[in-house]
Amino acid sequence: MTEEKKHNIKVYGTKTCPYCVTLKTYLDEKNIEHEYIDVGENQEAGKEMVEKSGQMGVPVVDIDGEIIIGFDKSKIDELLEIKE
Amino acid sequence: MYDLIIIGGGPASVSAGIYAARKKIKTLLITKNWGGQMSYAPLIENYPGFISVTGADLVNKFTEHLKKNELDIKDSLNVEDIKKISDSEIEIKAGDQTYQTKTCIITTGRIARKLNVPGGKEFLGKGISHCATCDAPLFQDKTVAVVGGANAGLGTALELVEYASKVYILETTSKLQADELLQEKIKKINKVEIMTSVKIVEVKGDKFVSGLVYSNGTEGQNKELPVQGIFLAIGSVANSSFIKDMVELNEQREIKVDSKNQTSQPNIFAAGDVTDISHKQIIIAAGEGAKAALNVYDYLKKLK
Repeated sequence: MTEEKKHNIKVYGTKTCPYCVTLKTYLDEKNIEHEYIDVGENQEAGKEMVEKSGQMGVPVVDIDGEIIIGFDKSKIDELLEIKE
Repeated sequence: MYDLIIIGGGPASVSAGIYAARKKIKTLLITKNWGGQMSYAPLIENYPGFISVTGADLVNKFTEHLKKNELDIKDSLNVEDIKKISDSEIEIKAGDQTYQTKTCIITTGRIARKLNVPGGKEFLGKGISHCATCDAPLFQDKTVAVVGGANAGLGTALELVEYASKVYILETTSKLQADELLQEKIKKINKVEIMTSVKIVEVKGDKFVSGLVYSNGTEGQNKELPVQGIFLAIGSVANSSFIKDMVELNEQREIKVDSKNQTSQPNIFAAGDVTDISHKQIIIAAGEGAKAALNVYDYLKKLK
């Protein structure tokens, strides 16, 4: 078995945003550990997300400092080396 | 070579996929996203079997059901080009791949209309949003404007009042177009201010939206309204531009289909909100998708 790389993943989303839910489900399905931050409840994290991504839409994913806006599956797959 | 390629990921697509798989049609489904417009619906209460369900939950139910069936699926993939080779062969370019199929069903639905004024494009995602369901919590204690005074606009405003400190509703005609019941509800909320007979002419800001300029129809009387968020509820357009040279569209750019979901090209079918059918509803789109798949089945039988 090869040793898997550990990634530092933060997902910024809201409770009701459909693509946040889809994104979270996707990471859960692939057993990828991540921190899910509800920016609706955590206003400070919301500000942090806006600063990091330069925009105000959710979801935003931070993978080891690399910022992805929206549920961009191919980009996430590339950074996490997920193969279908 | 596939027998059928379905393009899209909303209710028409999912239902077409299920029906096609059950008819053992060799099928590929290509979609950029799942759910289409329904994924943005805060609550759906008119789909039989689900008394009250969020759009996101119903989308998950749909895709879960679809994936129980035998068909190939490529998601997060955008169809760039469709070429008709003959009445029994179509070539579809998506990403860096080309796929061949005998028939296809277009179920690409509708997309939110954009704000066609200076700043309208630049500030999309930087204060301008199409989805209050997604983004409303980011506007806690901020002043926002909703563009559009029909049902969608007032629904958007109702979501925003949970967070924003002030919500303006901008309507171009002289009165709100929304259902009376919804209007009564909105008018009781103090932090909502309704502005009729006004048209947004510019979005202002630096990095993010800081305000909008509106006109009351008289030249030289434009006024500025300081807002941090602008939510668009100005309707949607058929997502048909990628196929406009291939099949006939009506004046609203919807794909013309006959009672068998056939377009002006015999081996290209279409279903759901992208077509010229009379009402755009999840249940209708799902029904149309099923009908299209069954008609594709009949068409394929005749080819043999």
